[in-house]
Amino acid sequence: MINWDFLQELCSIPGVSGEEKGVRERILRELEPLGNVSLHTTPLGCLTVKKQGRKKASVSVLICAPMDEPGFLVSRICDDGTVKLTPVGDISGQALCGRPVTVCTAKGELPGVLGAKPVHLLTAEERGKPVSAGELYLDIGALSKEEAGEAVYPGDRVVFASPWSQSGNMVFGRSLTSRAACAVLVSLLHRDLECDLTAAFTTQGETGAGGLMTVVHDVQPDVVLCIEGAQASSPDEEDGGCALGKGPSVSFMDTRMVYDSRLFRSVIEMACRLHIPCQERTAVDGDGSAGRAASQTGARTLMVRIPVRYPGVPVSMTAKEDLESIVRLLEAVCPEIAGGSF
Amino acid sequence: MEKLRELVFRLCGEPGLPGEEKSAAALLAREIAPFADRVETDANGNVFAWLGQQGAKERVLLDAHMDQVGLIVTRLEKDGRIAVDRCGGVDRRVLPGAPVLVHGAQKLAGVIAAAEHPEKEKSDRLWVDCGRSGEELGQLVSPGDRVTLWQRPVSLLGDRISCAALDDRCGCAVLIRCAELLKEEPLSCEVVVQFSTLEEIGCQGAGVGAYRIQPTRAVAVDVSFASQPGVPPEKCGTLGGGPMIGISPVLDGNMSRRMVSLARRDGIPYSCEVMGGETSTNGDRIAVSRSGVPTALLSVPLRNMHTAAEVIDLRDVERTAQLLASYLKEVRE
Repeated sequence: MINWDFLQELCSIPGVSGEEKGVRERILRELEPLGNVSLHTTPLGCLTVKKQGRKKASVSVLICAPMDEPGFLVSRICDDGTVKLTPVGDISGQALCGRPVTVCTAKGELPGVLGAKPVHLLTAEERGKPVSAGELYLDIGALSKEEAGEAVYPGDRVVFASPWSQSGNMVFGRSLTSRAACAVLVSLLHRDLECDLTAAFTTQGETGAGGLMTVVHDVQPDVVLCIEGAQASSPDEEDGGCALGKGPSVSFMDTRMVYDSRLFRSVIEMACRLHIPCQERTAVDGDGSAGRAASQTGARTLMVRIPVRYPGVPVSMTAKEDLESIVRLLEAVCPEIAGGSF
Repeated sequence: MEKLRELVFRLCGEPGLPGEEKSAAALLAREIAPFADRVETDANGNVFAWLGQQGAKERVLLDAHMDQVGLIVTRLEKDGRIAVDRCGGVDRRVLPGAPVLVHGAQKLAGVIAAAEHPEKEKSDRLWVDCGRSGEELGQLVSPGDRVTLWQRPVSLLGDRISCAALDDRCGCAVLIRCAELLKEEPLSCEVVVQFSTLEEIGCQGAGVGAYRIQPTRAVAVDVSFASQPGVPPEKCGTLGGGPMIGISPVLDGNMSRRMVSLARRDGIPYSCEVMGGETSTNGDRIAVSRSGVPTALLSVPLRNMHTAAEVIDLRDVERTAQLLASYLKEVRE
């Protein structure tokens, strides 16, 4: 149901907030061959897709997935040829040193590393302490400011260089929180749907959900379902919000956003009835910016999250079966919502 | 420089952690064979290659260690976590969230668990998440299996490169390149190249090797700190600055001074790495072997030591090999 090669490709394309073009174009290529879809790129780089179903919808539904990922921007080139960076989005403080990275320059992708003061020279206090964002720097092998200045420019995006693998039931890759959501939505759009549906692949999710907000303004949906990755508990945690392998995690609220309770209840009940794995999120911890952006025009909103371990570090992990469960669940609930029963 | 780049990338691509260097050892033996008269290994896993004038009174031991830092599986938890400990002095700060490969019955991809909430972090305990159940793991992984940090060798700007295990595979590359430079040269000394094991956890391989070979003098080749943000300039060399010539009470002053003169004579950029005590390299162990061995130390400047993001300048590998070759050409009884 999910095209794993496609997801692998998506995870390899850099798309730090504000520069999602590469990801969007890959998704476009995957959707263009479909009949009965109309595709539109918005001024902020989002891709909206209107797909015709077998019936018209009496309640308009928008499903969205973010394309962007956290990363870094080049902020300043230092005299010694190293480059200062600013983090973008939610990056774990523990991921900031000793990492291979890729720099997206005007002339193409350039390899680099995030430097790390040699462990042998650390004081007792420095050992084991995460590096602060202020100490973070990029090394592209330049030995002078001039040499670095010819290769990179302020604003260039930087992403972790990360492996992709499929092992057992899991996939490991960079930026799964956004790209897995995109793969789920693409998979749904390939199916023969009962009702009309609008989908949006949005930008700037890591920096205030500006993309989603503007899409919602254009589409004016009655209901919005936001798909994205959410932190899943590690094997030793009893209660970490949601678990891998138990299906999509549906939230009743985040720290600054309460979701539509009728939608919340109805989706979970339907999942139960159809024996599709689904879990209520037991933690109130997400920021909810996507949800807030989605509900700007008064739409009823629900977050449907993909359990992902280790977001915000070079490689995250998600369960294949969870992605397939989400596609099945969305395919089942959309006609109910569009038909007005939820 | 292209051939050297490919050599270094090949050497760094082969895993070889302390006590499990077999794979790297086999590769090193193959790489040096074209330039040596004979190649052997010992019970410790060390690889030796003889060149130069066999049976000469002066026998010079050249050493570089083949082991790299990594992690070792200590226990398999029922919930599918793989408890690991450091195998060699890996920089602990880079571990949380790092992608790794577990070298069990098959190679498994995993992530080192990032403790997001400091209060949950259990002191020094680390574990790897491969996304498998406890039962599955039992068939695939055993305590003692090694774990390497995922990395990819890349070329940066100019002649700089980055990958894991440059400490000390680039030192091994220096010795191979030096042997290549000397292939057609008549030497007045016997030269034994030693790729040694277990340096990262106590230099045992070099100690055993020096005891067996009984050299009359030795040169250890390792890596040392290149200048980078946060490192005091007096403690380091620079990328592209050529070999760092070790000067320390445990090293032989005459040999150090001769290295400096030769670098100047041949126009090889260099810096002096002055240490007040032991050098923390195989040189320390070799120097006190049996009755004592006059020992020198040459180091390739390197950034981000003991991480997957180490960086060197290939020109420094070439220059270190050339300096060493110049030195060996004049060793005689």
